Amino acid sequence: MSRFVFLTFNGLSFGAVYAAVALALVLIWRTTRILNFAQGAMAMATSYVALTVTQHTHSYWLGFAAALVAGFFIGGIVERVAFRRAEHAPHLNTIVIGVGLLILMQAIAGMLYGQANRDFPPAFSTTTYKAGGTALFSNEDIFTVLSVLGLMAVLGVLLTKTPTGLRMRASAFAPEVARLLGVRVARLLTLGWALAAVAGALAGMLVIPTGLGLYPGAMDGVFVLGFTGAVVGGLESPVGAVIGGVLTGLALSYASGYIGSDITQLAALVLLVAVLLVRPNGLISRSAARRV
Amino acid sequence: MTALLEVEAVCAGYGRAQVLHEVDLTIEEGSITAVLGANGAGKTTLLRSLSGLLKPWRGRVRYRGRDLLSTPVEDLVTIGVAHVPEGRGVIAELTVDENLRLGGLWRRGSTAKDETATAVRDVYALFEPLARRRNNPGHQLSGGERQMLALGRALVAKPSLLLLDEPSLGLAPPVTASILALLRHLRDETGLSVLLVEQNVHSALAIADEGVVVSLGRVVARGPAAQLKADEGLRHAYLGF
Repeated sequence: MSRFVFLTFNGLSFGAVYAAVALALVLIWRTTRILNFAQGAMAMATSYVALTVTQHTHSYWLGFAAALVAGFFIGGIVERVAFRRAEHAPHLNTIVIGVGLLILMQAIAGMLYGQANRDFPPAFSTTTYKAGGTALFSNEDIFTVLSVLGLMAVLGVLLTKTPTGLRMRASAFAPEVARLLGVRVARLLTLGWALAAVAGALAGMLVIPTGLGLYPGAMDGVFVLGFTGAVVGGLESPVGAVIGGVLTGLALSYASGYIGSDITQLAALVLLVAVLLVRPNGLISRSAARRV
Repeated sequence: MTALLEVEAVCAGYGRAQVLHEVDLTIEEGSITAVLGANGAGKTTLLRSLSGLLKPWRGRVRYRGRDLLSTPVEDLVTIGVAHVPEGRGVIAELTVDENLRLGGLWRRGSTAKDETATAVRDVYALFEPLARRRNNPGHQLSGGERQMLALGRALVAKPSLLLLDEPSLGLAPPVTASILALLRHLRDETGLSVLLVEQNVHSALAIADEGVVVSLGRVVARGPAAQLKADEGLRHAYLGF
């Protein structure tokens, strides 16, 4: 039982990270029908920004803030420069652009920082609290989960309680109608990409200090698992993305703890296939998501 | 009466397929003009060309003397032009209230929120079924309620010119009649001008001041609604009754 409790907390912590990546992917997918394969590389880039700022200022929190701000601008620039003209192009075009951007960003990071794995300090202690000899969670785990919950809350309020959020949703669901109502759809798409990149940047800042380290390909595996979470959740729904991300984290944690760490990637695949067999459109499919 | 909208020699199409050929049209202030014609005549293309959703190949469109073709689609609502597109454009994922508030989000300034709130209240007074379903998402509405919502959302913007595409599509005749009667009421009470694209010729000519008959992308007849209705040759050739 104690092992189960530990694995559950561990799964929730990593699941929160995958949820943030999934959220980033879903925010872009539902507005533009683009799967941003460069999302992980963008998070890697913002983590290098954080590392640089932290090294120069000796302040983790300035680095953390710099990563989120950098994510906002990188997301907006990537949409304007790389994807804007391809938003109505066939899916394959945008996939090629995303993969090309991924390769380009990793190459630039490699040239600037090298391929070495760099340590990145966590925000809080990673020593786990124990109850009756059972390891539970660390302060860093709490920070990770609360950060993602905070991100969800901010995005939730923005999207559902503000005029800008209403414009963003209208742009996502009916761009032509939104334009007729005076909504600057193109600007809001850019904002959506920027916010998605902030979510990705947060994921990078939360997962890289957990022993993963920072190197140009650091976020590749995290991106794959975040993508798994997004598909499990249904790709259409931000709530589904979070649920899918957390389920992915839990599945991997249980598989790693009970079967072996070699099996974790396979566990993600099994989860993906199992969910899609039962619900081909994901747990919160398009029609259900639109009734929320 | 003065001209609110002047359309001169507009040509438009999709790809290489030309749909509109040298279309001329004038809408007077405070009038209802019905654009009539068979399926595929180019009625919807005409409305889309006027609002800029489809860029015309050539021609001129002036609204109160302003060149409408160089005006961004997003600015139309700010100068008093509202376009309710074919299929109504109700955003099914948003609630009735959100759809209506969206109609006023173009406003800027300290009074914008209050003005929109007042306009939304006016719409609820005009369409009581919407008030009862204000928290329901658009996809839960009936066809008639959707049309009310589409029209109501356009009215929240307080337009001077309403471009309305096929409001009767899929609606029962009594619902269509009440919506068209409302247009006449709005014209009389607020001076709203309406360019109405409609296949239901009888209903459209009953409320319109002017009529324009379009066939294969060309204007083949125009004139007072009563005159068009009385022209037997025209009715047989183009209007099907």
